[in-house]
Amino acid sequence: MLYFNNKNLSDLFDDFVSGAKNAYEGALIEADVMENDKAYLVSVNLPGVAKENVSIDFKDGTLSLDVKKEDEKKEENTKYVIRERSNVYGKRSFYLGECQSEGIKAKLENGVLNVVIPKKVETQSEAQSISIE
Amino acid sequence: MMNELTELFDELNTMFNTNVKRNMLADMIETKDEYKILVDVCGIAKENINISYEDKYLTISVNDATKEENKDKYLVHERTTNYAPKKIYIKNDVDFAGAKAKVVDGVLSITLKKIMPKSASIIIE
Repeated sequence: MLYFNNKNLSDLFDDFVSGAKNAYEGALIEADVMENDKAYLVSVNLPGVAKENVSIDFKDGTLSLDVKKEDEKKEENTKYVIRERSNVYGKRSFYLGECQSEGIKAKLENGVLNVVIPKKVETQSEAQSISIE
Repeated sequence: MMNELTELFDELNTMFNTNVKRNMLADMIETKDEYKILVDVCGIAKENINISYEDKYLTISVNDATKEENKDKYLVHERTTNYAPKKIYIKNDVDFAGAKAKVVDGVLSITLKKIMPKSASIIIE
């Protein structure tokens, strides 16, 4: 306790409170990344998010998701009795390595975005005969 | 020393990764004549959601459907459908029989109409 004077302590609490407020503003986008022999599957929880607000791109082995913030609808004469949910928005990216970017498929269903990214198939080198000139 | 440390961390890992039921996140909005309850239920089919009402408590519970063996390897694992039942206290009496519920884009919404006390005049004997 020698190292904490009062100012430091209150700073510590201020940081904690503002941190908690930020967490309430935009929740972490929860994700699973799975791998099998043929592909990667990325599943992301996007409750109440319309597919128009989601953009996905794949570049240099990294899958990036960008979820736009939706405008809050304000209704009059209503009050929140409980408020735990937060607007899901923000960016997340996953490094997967070399993949077939042409074959990526994405579907948003029941609040879950599933993206399937096929792995690069190593083209088996066919035996080629070389003719002698 | 190293062995003890790894053991400790293994123990900690199992502590955090055991089937801990997670809290469902909900909003409850009150208007003059109804309550609207919103619950995030990403990836849960509506058949697996049960809603009941008893003694002013609304209970929402979810059957965990992710029990099948998955052979894929997880690189990141943050999502779950293993949720604890959610109990919500509702101050006013509500018409549960006439409640409306639906699941849209992974959000369950329940609308409950308040039962208004009927105004009555008292006759003086």
